[in-house]
Amino acid sequence: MGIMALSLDKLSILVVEDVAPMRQLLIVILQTLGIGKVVAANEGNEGFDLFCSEKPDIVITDWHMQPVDGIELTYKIRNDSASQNKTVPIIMLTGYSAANRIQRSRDAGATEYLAKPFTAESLIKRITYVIENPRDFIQTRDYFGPDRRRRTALNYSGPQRRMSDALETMAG
Amino acid sequence: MTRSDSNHNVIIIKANFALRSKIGRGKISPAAILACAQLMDSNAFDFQNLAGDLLTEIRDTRAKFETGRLSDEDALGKLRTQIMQFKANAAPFHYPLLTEIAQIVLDLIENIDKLDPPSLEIIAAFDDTAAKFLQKQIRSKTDTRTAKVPQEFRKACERYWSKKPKT
Repeated sequence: MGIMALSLDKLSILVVEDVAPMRQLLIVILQTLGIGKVVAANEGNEGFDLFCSEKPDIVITDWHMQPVDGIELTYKIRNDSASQNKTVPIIMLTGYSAANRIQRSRDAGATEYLAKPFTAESLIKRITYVIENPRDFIQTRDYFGPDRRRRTALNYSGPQRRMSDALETMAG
Repeated sequence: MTRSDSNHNVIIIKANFALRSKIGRGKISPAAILACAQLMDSNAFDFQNLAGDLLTEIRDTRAKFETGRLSDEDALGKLRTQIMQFKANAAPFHYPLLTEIAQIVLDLIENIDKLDPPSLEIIAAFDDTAAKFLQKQIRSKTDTRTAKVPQEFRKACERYWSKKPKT
């Protein structure tokens, strides 16, 4: 029995990256992978315009760009009234890897984070992961984005803040 | 489907599986992954120009700081970005040792809030090393002449921290 293949030719991806050779490398990798449509921008303003006009299925954005960086682009996609798909998967691609950077990316609403330098395999794994594992979205007064709770801490003894936690506790 | 929790002003929008439905279930072929990896390994972009620009920026930032035209905070912000760009872009464009060394230096400067003489020496050493590697096109991680350079940077950073705790 053969391995079923993903229909990547039906997928469209927006790449936002200011370093021209890296942007070009990403485009060619995605095209080689068989992604149906790859569009690219070199900073966040252009990226948001393309996001609105092209309606990509996934966004891959660099962090450090000017005048609008990846954090601000992510926030706009998640919150701007002109954004037509606020729950699009967003992969933040960046050379920063410190924990506080990852947290900032997460708090802006990024779905996944991939540290540069990346390998072809790690990039592909992230793309397939966001496709295979869509996440719940959370809307609060201060945040709209993927559910930031990724792990279950078995020995957590602090306060439970969600109604669903209380329901789960009652059910358990 | 959404669910609201009025006690905590939270709306939960359940995961949308439309994208998964659109492209189906399955795997990406190993051949496709290999093709992408080979493409990265064989890309012909010349890193020299990009690296040269980054080194110019690093030197400019150091000079401005050392002559009082930039604060610690501003100089560190710029240096973190410049060295991060080395870390992010050197390896994909065939200078893996520079990525490794940039990571070591970045790890240092992301954990300090002031530029002191020892940290400036480490940054200057990175500048000199990067310039030499680029000039001699040193790309291999297995070259015995250069394989120990990352370890020297690690030792320099360890000496730095042995004299002061991380902030």
